[in-house]
Amino acid sequence: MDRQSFFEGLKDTLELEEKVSEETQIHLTSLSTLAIIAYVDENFEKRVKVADLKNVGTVSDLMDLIGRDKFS
Amino acid sequence: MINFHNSIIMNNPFSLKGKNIVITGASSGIGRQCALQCSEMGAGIIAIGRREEKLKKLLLQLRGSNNLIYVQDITKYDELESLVSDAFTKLGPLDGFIHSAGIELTMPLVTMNHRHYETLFATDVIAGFELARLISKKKYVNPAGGSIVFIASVMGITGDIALTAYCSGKGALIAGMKAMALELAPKKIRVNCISPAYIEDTEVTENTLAYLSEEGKKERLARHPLGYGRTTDVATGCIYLLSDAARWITGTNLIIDGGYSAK
Repeated sequence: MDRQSFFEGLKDTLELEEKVSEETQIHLTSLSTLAIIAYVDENFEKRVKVADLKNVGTVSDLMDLIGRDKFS
Repeated sequence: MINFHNSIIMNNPFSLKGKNIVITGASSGIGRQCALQCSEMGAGIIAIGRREEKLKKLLLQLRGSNNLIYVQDITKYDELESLVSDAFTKLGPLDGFIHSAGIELTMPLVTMNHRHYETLFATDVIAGFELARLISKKKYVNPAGGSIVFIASVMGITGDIALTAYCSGKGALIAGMKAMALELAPKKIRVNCISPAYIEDTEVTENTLAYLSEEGKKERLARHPLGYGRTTDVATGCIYLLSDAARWITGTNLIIDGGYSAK
């Protein structure tokens, strides 16, 4: 998936106000956790667990979790 | 009083002896347990599922020889009548149906699209209603009457975050059941739902709990005054609704939830 589409999809999914970049902070709530899990599953066919997201503080962390090789 | 007692022992009102019961989702969980327990109560079982190995294993555990298994994707609606017809040909008139097949979908509304609803409704609702339509046909159902049980959920009457599709699917079963109960009463076919809360050791519960933190899991358990349920709790309810003991029960949603919805 190309990075720009990923950022735009994430902005939409998390209903963020500002433009998303790798530096964007991710604040996890129970709902945003589920939204991220669903977003990753739909776009990368990868099922991340709640525990996996504990160390995700930024979009960059999330991209590392998904796997950098999945992005163009 | 003594005559009544003897009568109860000799004529067990919960017996399913001689009844042929169709069960979807029979490969695992609640459906599988229903198959095993209905068989213990004397029923012939027509078990439908997607996993051949699990169905074959189930067949070996059922009592007697009046049992059939069908490996079938129940969302292939055009194939369902030939399955029902085949079961009728081999075992005779059909007496009951438990729709236990269902999929779970934990997804916040913002991540949903129409395809998610269509996929869930196909299995959880439409397949169940289609099989009920076929099984209740005069040419297949026992002329003395029958009993249909849809396994719904307390989620069909309460609600929870990230479960819009699942809750609405279960709610659809509850609403559709009432309409069906009224329409099929002249044929002496009773139609009811069972609405469980969280049942341990089922794929639906495991999938839903997988999304929770440890704290979330504790909170979920705490919602059940009597703790999580077991598949046998639901199967026992099905036996009751399928049996002659429930002769006068139709259009009802039997809540078996450990007190979940009492709060």
